[in-house]
Amino acid sequence: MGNPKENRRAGAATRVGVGAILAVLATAAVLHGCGSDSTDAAAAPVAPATPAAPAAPVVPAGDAASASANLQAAWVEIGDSNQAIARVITSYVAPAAAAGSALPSNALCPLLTVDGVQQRMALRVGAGAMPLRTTASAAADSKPSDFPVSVCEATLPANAAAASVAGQTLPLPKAQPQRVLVLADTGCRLKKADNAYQPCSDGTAWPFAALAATAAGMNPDLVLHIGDYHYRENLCPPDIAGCQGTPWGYGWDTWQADLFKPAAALMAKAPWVVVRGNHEECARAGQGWFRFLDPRPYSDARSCNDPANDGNANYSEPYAVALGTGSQVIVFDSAKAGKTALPTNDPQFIAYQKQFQTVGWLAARPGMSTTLFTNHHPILAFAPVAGNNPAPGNLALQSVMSNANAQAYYPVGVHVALHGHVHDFQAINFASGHPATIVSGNGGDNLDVALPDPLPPGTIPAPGTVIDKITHHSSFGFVMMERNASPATGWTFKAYSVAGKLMATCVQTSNTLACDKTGFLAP
Amino acid sequence: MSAAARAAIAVLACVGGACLAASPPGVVLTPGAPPAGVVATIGNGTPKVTAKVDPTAAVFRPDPGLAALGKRIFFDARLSEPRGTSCAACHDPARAFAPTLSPAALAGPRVPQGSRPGRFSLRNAPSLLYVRYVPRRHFYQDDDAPYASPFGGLFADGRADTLAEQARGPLLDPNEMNNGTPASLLSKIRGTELAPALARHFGAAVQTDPEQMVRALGKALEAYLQSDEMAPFSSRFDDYLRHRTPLAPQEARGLALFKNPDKGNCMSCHTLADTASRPERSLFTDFGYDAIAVPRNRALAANRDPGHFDNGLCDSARRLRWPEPEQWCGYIRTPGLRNVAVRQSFMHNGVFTTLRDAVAFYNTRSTDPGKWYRGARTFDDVPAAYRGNININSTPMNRRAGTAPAMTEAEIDDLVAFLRTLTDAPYTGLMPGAPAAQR
Repeated sequence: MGNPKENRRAGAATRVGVGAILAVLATAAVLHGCGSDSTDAAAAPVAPATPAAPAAPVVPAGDAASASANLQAAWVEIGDSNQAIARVITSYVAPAAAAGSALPSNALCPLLTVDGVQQRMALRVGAGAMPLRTTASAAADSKPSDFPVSVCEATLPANAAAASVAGQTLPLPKAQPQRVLVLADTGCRLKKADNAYQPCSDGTAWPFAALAATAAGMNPDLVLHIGDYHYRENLCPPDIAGCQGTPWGYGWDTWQADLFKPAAALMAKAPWVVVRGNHEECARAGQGWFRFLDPRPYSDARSCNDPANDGNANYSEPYAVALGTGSQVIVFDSAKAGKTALPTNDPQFIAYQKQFQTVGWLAARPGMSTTLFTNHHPILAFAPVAGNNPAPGNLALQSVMSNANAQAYYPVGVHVALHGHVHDFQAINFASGHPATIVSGNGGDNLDVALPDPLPPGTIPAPGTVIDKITHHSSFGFVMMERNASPATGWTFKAYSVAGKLMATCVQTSNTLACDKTGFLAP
Repeated sequence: MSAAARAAIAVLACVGGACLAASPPGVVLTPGAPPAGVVATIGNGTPKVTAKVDPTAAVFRPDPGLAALGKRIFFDARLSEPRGTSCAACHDPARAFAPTLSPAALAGPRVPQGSRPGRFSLRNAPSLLYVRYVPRRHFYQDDDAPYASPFGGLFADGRADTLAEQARGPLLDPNEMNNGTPASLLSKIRGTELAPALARHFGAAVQTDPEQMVRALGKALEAYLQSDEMAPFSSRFDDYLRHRTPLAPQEARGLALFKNPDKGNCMSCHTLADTASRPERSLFTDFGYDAIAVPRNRALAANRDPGHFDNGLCDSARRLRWPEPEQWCGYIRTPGLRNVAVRQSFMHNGVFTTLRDAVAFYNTRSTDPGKWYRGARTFDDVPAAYRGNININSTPMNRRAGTAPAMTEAEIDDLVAFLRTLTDAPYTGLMPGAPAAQR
């Protein structure tokens, strides 16, 4: 199915129906994309390959938009209604559009083939150079975000058996994924304020590509990225060879270098669930987040292009992704969470308060035996500090959660919490009944120091918690979740090094976690 | 406790979820660098700034005449009591401006001897090469960091904000140049040609006002220390940086270990940028502070009192009215490592006599503490009340006693081999085991 020439010869008996579904879904997914939405062509019939088969929605010879050379990235991500969303990033520029005529916007998009049926994808957002906005850096160290690529998407039918675009097979979600890769904080740090210039061209110093290859080799059925995809914020100084020539800012080139290129093998391997990190808040890589990754329809109001809208666009409604057999993961956007407890009248408090109500409802869904909660900032885990007790979990989120649920923090029904942000691995089992917590933030950006081993007595991530056991390390790596064999429920979490060395195995049952090792794990 | 104080520093400039943009006037932390934005003031005047210091932004253009005068002062052996001990006595230009220890010092406390026989400095003396890059005291907090951390300042405890201020210390220290008071120092200088020379730069009042004279001396010495001759960047590692002149295989392995976060992890504090051609990016210090709890040097006179401890940064923190200064007890400023291989003793208290021991200490401090504390209590040079401040997190110092260390003995040798490449060309012959031709 991966070859478009083969696709042209595919049978047509059921294609029209599937194609129509695709068209409707794809059209529904478009909101305020660049170009003229009124001339949307997602449902437009594609010219037949031969006059003898006019009804067959096959690729016309030389469909320029579908040329594989245009395809910069292709992946499938899970949306807020458990829909599988096929996305591509294309560099294609329609000739007529380049000349100024008003072509249907979807004409930029390639043909997607699902179970032998071809349908043009819908334009999510067209190419464009966004004017300079306020960023996390000084104006002199910022620049407009240039996106000379278009993003196309289509919602895949739930029963799709095969999908491809421009010759690239797309991975489809499995009803019961057996292996879920968990990783975070994967980008290469270029940050002037920290005088930090990670050698992005050194696969040892920034090992994300190797990590992604190792993880892809383990054949995950799903990838859960818990945020901080993008770190190339500022210009690499001209005297540093290790990051020379590296793109910087927040445009497409930085996203390509930090995520889409090194993660291509992982994107081809399995659908992704994407979580937003603080590096994707509006003043940082928020524009790219909404163009490329946010699972909701694109809209100007939530594009991060206008700082006036940041108060809205820095927050997203939580949603749940079904993992099958009574398992689900609730995705929460904490991109803009601060470091201090929030007063109850703070707008951020109010926004998060409402969202945690939603989390409560999602966690209370009937039939769920295992609910995982994921957001970027650790809540009941630690930030290590050299020469001091570890810092607690995120105080802003804790203040909201404790207001709603007292020292339980999480609503009833949450069994496991998964985070990034802290650049190490932590697996915590609580004696106080709190959800087992895993931090998997060691995906490629500069590492944090390790936690002290053993933890100083009484060290807790939040008032009211009691740690039973903690397993941790500060080497680059990732976590693979493996579904526990029936009749057991829940998951087994395996911590791996970049090279694939198994460092610890933690079996989850309800809200407990039993690891085969405790304390610091030597690499 | 300390976390709360650190949090207090962290949130001074933050309200709710957002930190305020830098708006007050900036502060120049290194000469010639653009002002750093200030987001808060800690204690009685230490700025918390918006960006980490970038040594490549510093521009050193000291007045040549003043630098020349500073150099004369630096080598002037009349400026001690009794006479005979110049700045150069402890900062030997023949040893990369680090101390060449007297036989008495070598046989005793392994720190420099002062102007009086039998009196020794309370701490080891650093090399003064590259000291010009040490920024003024400040706090900085990366936006991912939970707390702000202190950086910069002179002396191991950061008690001087600038080189000019630092100069006062050894001139008046009874264990070093022993000039007593500013007034007695003034009277000594008034009888020399230095007084009118200083007056030409700083005005006639320096010849009558003791404090002005001390400040003038400091400014002159600062100008000399900021001159280019104090930053030669002539080591083999600099050749590697600038011209990609290859390192020997063992040295290259050492460099890799130095950077490897699972092995030496040295660069987490002793920062370098080995792909950068500008050597200022490889000063081998982040100018920060750490509490690594080196063993007590029992040969130091002050340490004969079991109740005496060199608490480092917290003494400065108290004076500067930082919140909960005790959290900084045991913290010592991370020194640069350039020319470390020609030193005769190591660590702030001179406890080690070989570079290999200094490196090996990091590797096995936690896995084999008995080797280093020799029957004494682990972390014996830090009061019990402050042992919670000690860095037990950073690789390789984070492993439990009895477990395997992060590095092998051969890897320690590799690290030492790499550190020897940091020796500036004039001093390579001083390295132990250097070929005779280099001596």
